[in-house]
Amino acid sequence: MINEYNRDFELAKTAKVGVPLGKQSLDVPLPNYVEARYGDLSFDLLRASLVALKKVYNGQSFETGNDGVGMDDYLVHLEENDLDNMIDSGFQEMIDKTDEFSMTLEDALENDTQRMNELYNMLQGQVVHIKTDMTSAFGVLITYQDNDGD
Amino acid sequence: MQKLLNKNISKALFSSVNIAPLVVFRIIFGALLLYGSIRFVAKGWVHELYVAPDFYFGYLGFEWVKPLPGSWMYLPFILMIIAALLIILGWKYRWSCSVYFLSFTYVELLDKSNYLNHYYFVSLMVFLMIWLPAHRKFSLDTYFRPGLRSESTTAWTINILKFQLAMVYIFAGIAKINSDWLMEAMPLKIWLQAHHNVPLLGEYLQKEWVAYVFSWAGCCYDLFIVFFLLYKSTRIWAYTFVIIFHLVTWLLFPIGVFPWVMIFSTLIFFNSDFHQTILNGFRRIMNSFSSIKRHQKPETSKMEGRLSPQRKAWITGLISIYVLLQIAVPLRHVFYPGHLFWNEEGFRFSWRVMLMHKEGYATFFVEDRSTGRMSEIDNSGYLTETQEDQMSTQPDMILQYANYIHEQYQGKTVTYRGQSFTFEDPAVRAQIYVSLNGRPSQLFVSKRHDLTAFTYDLKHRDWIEPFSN
Repeated sequence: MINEYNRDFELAKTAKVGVPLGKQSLDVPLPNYVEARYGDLSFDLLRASLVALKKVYNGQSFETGNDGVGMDDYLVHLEENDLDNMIDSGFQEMIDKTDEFSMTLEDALENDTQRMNELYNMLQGQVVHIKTDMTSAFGVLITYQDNDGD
Repeated sequence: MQKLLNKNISKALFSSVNIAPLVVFRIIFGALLLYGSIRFVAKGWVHELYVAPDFYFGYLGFEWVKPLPGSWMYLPFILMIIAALLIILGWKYRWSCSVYFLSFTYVELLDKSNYLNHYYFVSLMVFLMIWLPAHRKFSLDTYFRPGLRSESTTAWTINILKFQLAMVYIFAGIAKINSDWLMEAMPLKIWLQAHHNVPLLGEYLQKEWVAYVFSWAGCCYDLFIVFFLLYKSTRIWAYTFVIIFHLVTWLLFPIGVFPWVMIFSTLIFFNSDFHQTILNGFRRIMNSFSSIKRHQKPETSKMEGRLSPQRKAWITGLISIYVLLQIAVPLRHVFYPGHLFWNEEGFRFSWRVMLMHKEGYATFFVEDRSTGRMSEIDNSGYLTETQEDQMSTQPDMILQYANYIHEQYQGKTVTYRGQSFTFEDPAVRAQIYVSLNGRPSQLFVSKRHDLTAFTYDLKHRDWIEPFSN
């Protein structure tokens, strides 16, 4: 479950921002990899997926919006309040960042690389928190084979 | 004093003892080898670990060991299964042990992503078995060659196995004497609480004091269990602890056959009467299945008498080398500066089990030197999940992977939206964050290093970012 969440987040980071921004193509932006390129919706889609990932993290119901038990509560239960705050505010900062753009994602790739890179770095930082700090706090031994802990 | 010591050593090596413990060990360990090999194949791990990957993390000096093409990788496992069967039956015993040892060790040498201490243990034990006369009673070898039969063996053949087990436990215990384990109850604290949903016990497993009890008890157990197993008056209690301890680890952690290997191997500490009883039991079972009566001949040969002084000197010398190596290898880490868990220099082959929880996130970059432009590498395009997990926290693997990326991109031309780039001796960089034993993640490898500039050797790796506690 944590594993899947990690993967979803990385997918958002790489596929929705990284690849179009040229992170895997020597900094040459690839606008044809922009999600829903011709629909002008790409920023909205990116924002929506960040909101969804945040909701999953907080255990928020998608229908009622009520705050249920999520990974945030588990971290608090483990007395990892700092980490919880960091992840939660990280999400909010990224969502706010996407709101700053008043253009399409495709335009932003060409004309606002500076801010796109800032957004990408925020995503990258968040992956580190989720993949190393949170996973390690949960103590999940993600193993596919036998393991003796080394 | 010197004389007394010599006498004791000579007794521990060359006195004549009942062969039964060795024979029982052969049968039980052979059965474990058989089970372990079949289980490995049945779980689909041969394909997953040794057929599917594109790249393998070889060991320093053994990088020439390569997997067989495609389904041929099943061959060493088939050999292992046959050899294990023959070890149990005691047929062509030394050959069978050699075949098992070579096949198993070959597979282990292929990829250090799959390194486990207990695999290393199996390699060592089977290597030792090649040299032990564990087939000289209750075996097909003696059935076909009655002259081979012996009721006794020289003491070293049993004591070397006890020594090997003692090394595993004692070094595992010494490794636990560190502040994370004893003062923070880490990583057990985070591992145990992950079992909070276990019925009845789950509630306790989240309690901090329980993690401390487990940590301290585990450390004491590892350090002292061998001494309690060695003395007759404490042995039965010690063995009860062996069973409880390993069953608990088996229930809580995904450690496969290791608990069973230890539970059954430690039987070697029991005296020969105990093992004779087991052998009689085996014999009764066999007799009830077959009507063939074995031709029992009274034992005449005494092994001790046959050993010439030169031969004794040889055996003493070789055993000394083995013993010194087994003591020196786990201690080699003292020659490296820095934090052992962070740098992992001199970490493997040292019985450091269940000692740390590392989580890493590694982003690699390939850089076109002429333009200074960089591309992020999609690790999943080159490595399996297990390999990526292992690599992202282990410096030697990080270096091997960087070199592999370099090879993959060397001379490669890529075109993006009409712009072409050709990689000539590309630089490979990495930005890696690691969390050790529940601490906040910190920078492990910085992007400022071109990893292709470093050679993979045994020298201290000063490009690892220093660990701050």
